[in-house]
Amino acid sequence: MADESSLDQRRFEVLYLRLEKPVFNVVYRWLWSADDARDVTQEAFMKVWAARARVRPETVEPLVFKSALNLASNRLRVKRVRRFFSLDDAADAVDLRADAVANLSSAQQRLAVRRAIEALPTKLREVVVLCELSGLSTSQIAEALGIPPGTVGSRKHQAMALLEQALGPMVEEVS
Amino acid sequence: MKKREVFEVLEPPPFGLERLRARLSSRRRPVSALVLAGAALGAVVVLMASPGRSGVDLVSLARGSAAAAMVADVQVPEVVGLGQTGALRVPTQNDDVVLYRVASLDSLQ
Repeated sequence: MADESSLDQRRFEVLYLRLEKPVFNVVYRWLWSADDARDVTQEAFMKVWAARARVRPETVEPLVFKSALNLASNRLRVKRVRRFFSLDDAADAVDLRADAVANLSSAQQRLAVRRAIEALPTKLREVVVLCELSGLSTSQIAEALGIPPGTVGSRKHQAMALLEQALGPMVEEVS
Repeated sequence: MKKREVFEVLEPPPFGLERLRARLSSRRRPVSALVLAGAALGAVVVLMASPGRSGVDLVSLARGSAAAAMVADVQVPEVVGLGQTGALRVPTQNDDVVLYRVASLDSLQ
């Protein structure tokens, strides 16, 4: 009989199905490329799978996001170096063109959002993106980032203020 | 601007789980190859060490060498036979220390 606390492949796949979308969306706000975000999402899960013997079940979700953010930051650094040497210009151009064909005003709005999120300091960006897109609780976000839960709240507040400066007041719809 | 537009939830590209499964199985493959290689190596070792492959009698071979050494007035250590392996007890200055020189079939050939 399988150990309830162990991460076997079946449980791992269930975890992947539950977290794939939020992890992808968080990573996308770093890399702004669906292909890169998909690859990093998969790499993050593979890292967790490789370390499964040492992973506690209660920390596995923050760990997936933490791995994904580390991998995304590394990949972004590589992209910036490549862009510095003009190796990645073409890929970025394709992404923007595809958006523009779909809907010009929507593409402009997305570009403005991207610029505003990119302009956030990394510490604020990781908090606000995790708060809005990961589905993790405040304590899980604190665990993933290695900061106190109170800091999560204050950084989120600062990040939202900067985003509203850049994009105008944000309206939260009540369903 | 609406908050859901700023944090728009995007759909990841399809077949993510299938890609993950493929990566998991490709990660397992080198381990299987390693096990197979280990098993093959073990089989080779067993075949090489199996008795009856050679008619060489290690003990008589070693004793022959000892007889030659006696002619040359060399102190001959005691020879012990252990199947396909011969052991020579080497004299030492200290009685508390016992040294053996061990030779297997392959090292004599």
